[in-house]
Amino acid sequence: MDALNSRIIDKIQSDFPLETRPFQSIAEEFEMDEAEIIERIARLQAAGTIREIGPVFDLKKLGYTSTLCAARAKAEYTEAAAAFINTFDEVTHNYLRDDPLNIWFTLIAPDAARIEAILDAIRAQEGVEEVLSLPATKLFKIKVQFNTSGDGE
Amino acid sequence: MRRFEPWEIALIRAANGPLTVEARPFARMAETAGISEKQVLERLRAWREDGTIRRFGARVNHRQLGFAANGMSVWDAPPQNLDALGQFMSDQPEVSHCYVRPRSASWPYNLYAMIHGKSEEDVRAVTERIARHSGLLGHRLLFSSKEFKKSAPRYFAEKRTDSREI
Repeated sequence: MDALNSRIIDKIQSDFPLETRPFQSIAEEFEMDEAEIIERIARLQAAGTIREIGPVFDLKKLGYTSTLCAARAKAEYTEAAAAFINTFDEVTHNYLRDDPLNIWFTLIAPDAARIEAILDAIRAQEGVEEVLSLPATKLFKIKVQFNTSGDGE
Repeated sequence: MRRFEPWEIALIRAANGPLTVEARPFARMAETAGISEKQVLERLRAWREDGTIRRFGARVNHRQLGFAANGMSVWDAPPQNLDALGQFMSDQPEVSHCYVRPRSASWPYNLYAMIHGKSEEDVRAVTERIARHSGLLGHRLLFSSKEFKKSAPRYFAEKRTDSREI
């Protein structure tokens, strides 16, 4: 990754200008043209380095509830169970992990009843032996960004 | 929780969009939401100010940026040390998230720290550092061997045909 791209990414991860011409304002900071910065960012997005630009809402302030879940699926059913879990829009992250509890996923929904209904549907899948819901009861840290240019943390 | 006006819900949906990379992306967002560009910018700024929006910016692919390894460390922490241990873990720059979660009969861990590094060795070294400091609590380190899904939440989504009904 070139140094300029790294600095641009660091800048727009947490501090995207909420202005009429946001890329113009970023361009000024990097002494570039607006069109040039737009092209660079579009390329980083096309390459998948930037997944997307947008808000990270505080889900509680929007009235939503979330939980981290862990499922224990028999090896031969793991892929099918993970695919079933993925079909729910409320599932935002889903990973295979090296533990008897082998499928770890996050659920975000407007209410606890919807979360319970989804968990019950997953528990009913063949080869799924257990599903734990582990909602956070205390938050110590959510890091806002990963610096790539070596500035700061 | 505060109540959101219909136009605010339209804005939340439009902002989930995500942002288009063009000269006036908020004008496009405004068009989608059916409100003015000025309203969009004022409301997004106000939400960023009051914490409704925790941050507004680019979500990146950590693997592509050289953070190839991530491990979820889970710890069996005694209640009386929970705050001090959570604070210590949060102070480690490699830790991105740190939470307390309930234990269960088959899962005795209550403190979670997500650790990122260039390699699994880096992540193991951070886990060791925490383990030594914490007096060698019972713990596990779980690497993700496959990403099945990673997406941004879609709030106030209208009924979608691809979401499963139950």
